[in-house]
Formats: sequence, C-alpha cells, structure tokens
Amino acid sequence: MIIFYGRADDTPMARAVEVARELDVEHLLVDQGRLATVDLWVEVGADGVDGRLVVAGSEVDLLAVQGIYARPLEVSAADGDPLDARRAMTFADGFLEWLDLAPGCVVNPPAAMHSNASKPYQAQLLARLGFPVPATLVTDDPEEVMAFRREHVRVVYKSISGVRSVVRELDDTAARRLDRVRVLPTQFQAYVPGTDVRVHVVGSRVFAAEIVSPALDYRYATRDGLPVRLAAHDLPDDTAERCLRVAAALGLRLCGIDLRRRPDGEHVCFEVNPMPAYSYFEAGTGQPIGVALVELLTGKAA
Amino acid sequence: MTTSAGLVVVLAPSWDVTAVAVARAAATRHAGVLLLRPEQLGLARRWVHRVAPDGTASGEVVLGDGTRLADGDIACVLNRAEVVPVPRFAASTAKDRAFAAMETQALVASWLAGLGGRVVDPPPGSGPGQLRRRRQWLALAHEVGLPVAPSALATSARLPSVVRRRHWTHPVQAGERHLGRRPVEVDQPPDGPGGEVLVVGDRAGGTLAGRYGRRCVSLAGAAGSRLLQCRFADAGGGPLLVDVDPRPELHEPAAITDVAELLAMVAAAKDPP
Repeated sequence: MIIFYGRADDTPMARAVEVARELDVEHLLVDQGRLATVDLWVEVGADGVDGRLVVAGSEVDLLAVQGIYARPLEVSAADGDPLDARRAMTFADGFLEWLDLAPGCVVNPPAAMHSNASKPYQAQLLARLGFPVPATLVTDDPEEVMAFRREHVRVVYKSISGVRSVVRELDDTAARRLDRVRVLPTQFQAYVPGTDVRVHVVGSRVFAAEIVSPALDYRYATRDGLPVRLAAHDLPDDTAERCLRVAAALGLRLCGIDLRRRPDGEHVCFEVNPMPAYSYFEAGTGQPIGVALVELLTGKAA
Repeated sequence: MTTSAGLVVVLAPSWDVTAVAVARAAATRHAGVLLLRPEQLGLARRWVHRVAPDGTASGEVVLGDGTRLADGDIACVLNRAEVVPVPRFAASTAKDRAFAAMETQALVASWLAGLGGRVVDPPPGSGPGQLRRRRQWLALAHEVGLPVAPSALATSARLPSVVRRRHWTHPVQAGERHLGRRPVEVDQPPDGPGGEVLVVGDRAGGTLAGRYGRRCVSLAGAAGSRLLQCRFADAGGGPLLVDVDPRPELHEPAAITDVAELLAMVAAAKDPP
C-alpha cells in the first residue's frame, strides 16, 4: 500500500491519486481537509520506531507502507468542534514527524526540504554540487545594489526565503525606489540570459521541460497576459547527472530543479523546489511524471 | 569600530546565561570574543551578503553600534540562537512581520552557512532553522545503540495502541471532558535518578560518560553536531535516554571550559571541518 497525504483538491496530489487508481495500486488518501476523521499513533522506543493510522476503524501499520507522497499544505481548522481542530493539528504535526522517522520511501521527508527556506543558502549547496548559480547579493544598502547593477548590467530581485515571490527586473523605475531596501535586506541576482528549463527528478528518472515565454518569471506569464509554451527537452548527460546528484545530496526523491540554459549551452541553477507542482509540466509536455512517482512509491522504479 | 581578525562570536539570546559564561571563558583563551544577540542581527545597520557563481559566500554585517563583522574576520561562531527577532517590524502588520522574520532568518542562515565549519552548530547541511524534535533524536539515538525511553504521540487517547499501553498515559486531569478523543503525548519517563553525557567535539564528559560516552559521540556524529547533551533517567532497569539538547544549559565550570576550548580550537584551525 502507498499513502497520499495532502489536499484532495490539490492538482499534483489529485493527479498522483488518479495514476494510482489507473495502475490499480492499493492506496490511501489522507485528506488534510478531513484530518479530524483520521487517527495517528507514532512511537519511538526500545524496538525503534512504530506508527499506525486508524481510518474508519481499521488500523494501518505504517511500517508496512511501501511509500508516502506528502504535499502538506495549510491545515484548515475544523468548524465548530475545538477538539476536532486540536486533533487535526496534532495529526498534521505528528504525521510530519512520522515522515522524518519512516523507514520506507517518503516523498519527501520534511528534514530534506529545509534548504529551500533560504535561497542563498541553497545556492551555496547547489554550487558545491557542481551547478553554477547566478551572482547573488543580499543587502539593505542601495549603493551596493547600484554597484552590483553596474557590474552585471541587468539585475533581478526576489525573496530570500521560501516565500513565493514574483521575480522582477531592477529597471530604472525600480532603481528609483531603491531606498526601500533600507527597511529589509533584499536579494538581487545577476540576470541570466537564455531559456528556462524545469527538470523533475523522480528517483533515478529525469524529466526536463523547456519553457518558452517572453515573461521574466514564466510562472506568472498568464496573469500578465503573456504566452507560455512547454516542450519536453533532452538534457545533456552531464547536466542530467548533476540533477540526480543534487536531488540525492539534498535527500529529495522528487524535486523540481529550475535551470536556465545560457546561449553558450551551460545550465545555471536557480533553485530546487522540494514540493514541485509537477502536474502542470506533465500536462504541458506529456511526460509521465505522475506514473514515475507512483512507480517510485511502489518500488517499481529505483 | 572595526574588530580584530580572528573573532570568536557567541550568538545567543539575552536570557542564555550559558552563552555568557562560555563567552567569558573563551575570552581567556582567545583575544577577540563578541557576545552577539540575535536581535542585533535584525537591527543591523548594514548587511552585505554575496554568493558568487561558484557558491563562495562573502560579505559583512555592521551592527547598530558600528561594530563591523566581515566574514573573513570571523574565526568561529557558537550559534545558540533559534530565531532572529525583527524589532523594526514590531508595529507592522502580522503579515509583514512574518515576512520580515522569514527573510531575515533566511539571510542569517545563509550567512552562517557561508562561514562553513567555523560555525558550532547548526550542523552543516542540516538546513536553516532545522531542529530535530525529541522523538527524532530518540530514533537517531536508537540507531547508534543508545537505550531510549519510550515516547509516543496519539491523536486520540482511545486508540488501541494507547489503550494497550494505558499505564503510560498521562494522568487524566480532574474535570477534563472528551477524554477518549483528546490528543495525548504518551511518555514513560523513568522517574529514578538521572545522569547525563555532554559531547564537546569528539570528547564526552558527564556522569554517564564512562557507560554511554562513545555512543553519544556517535550520536553527535550522526547528527553532524559538535556540541550536545544527552539526558538519561533510570527507573531501575538501567538508564534510558530521555532527551537530547544541542543547545544545553551548562552549569559545571569544567563543561563551560570544554566548550570554550572547542571554540578556541575551531578558531585556531586553518580550515575547520
């Protein structure tokens, strides 16, 4: 059996559940929207770790579970009953704890997801693993930013933490507002010319997609009325190997790696997303990422 | 003011008396020691943190009093801070305050990571702000062969697994209702005499160091830690590990001296691990 943990209406989760159903894989969806209906027991003791789920009166031995795909989003408080809300919060907290203790295939253990909470920290790791990263400056000093802009000509800015932010270019208009950085250090990066490539690593399988869009941040292209075109892409072998190395080093069995292929052919790495919305890229390219994920969870793929 | 090269920084919140004692002891072994409060980082006059395309980090932070901490001048950091407050945002909306806190935490995490082996701890590679929970420590301890006290979590006191271990369950509070449905932490901390092992670098001290010191050093190694305290309790069947603290309160002068010596050693190393 495999377990899905997340929100039933979250598209990547819904797609994984759909694939499990299509492949006739025994599975259980633990819906974060209905946590008060499920019970959890997690234990560490003389015999090591043990865990059990109780769903509709039946006990599931968590040690016997082959794989868990977790996309924990915000837990919604149960209406009305404060005890249900407390139980739901305890479940959410306890299940995250279990994901780090579980001996089976967990996609992904929360402990492996921390590097994404600091982009410049993760950039240091990525560079050590062989990927060039954009020259980065985090500062609250406008003069440092202007010197950085003179050096790199085109500069973008984005959040430092894992908080999702729209990547913007530091154009002349933005530069006139630079005094604002004195309030809070901000991350600036040298603009990297080229084509965006999103790589999904699923176990030992690599799926690359090329994204063609005039938008600076293709994730928000549609919102800005700009087109986005996705196409399956063949990565050079050494780049694919680096992607596998990065995923393994970060302890991520599934991840989305954001690259940009420069005009000289080199791939620069922006970041690694430990909870990628793979279904968007699967729909745009036809790559069987969901199938690869379920096969990974069931042990049919390395 | 510019600090001298080879500075030892003890980063700790103001209530951390152990940090004060360690900083004092370190000052007798090393010329430059700075006790740095995390809020000073949140109130810094200037931050410059660079990451080059090859991942090399460099930069400086200028504190509110003008003290300049250049990365290259820092020889060692003892990090006992879990969060970096952002007092400048005290009057902001909760959303802005939370954003500022996350951004600042992310910056400090990257700054510390850029200092590499000069930071004691968090362990390199463990990620910013990552702290193991108690059961995660116990599970890791079990893997290295330490005897651990049972600890469990249940979302409902009426679960069969809880009922089977009823003698563990926290006593019912008088007047409490919905007992069967309430979440419970189910621990069995032995209430006998205790003991502890303090790991500092590759050395172990404390009352149970002779019996468990080697395995506690292995635990620290598995966690990538150079400083941690293991606390044991014994209900008659032998000591069981009940807790692990990577930022322990230290009272014994010898323990404080050991930590100060570790910092001096890290500061003196050309390329700390």
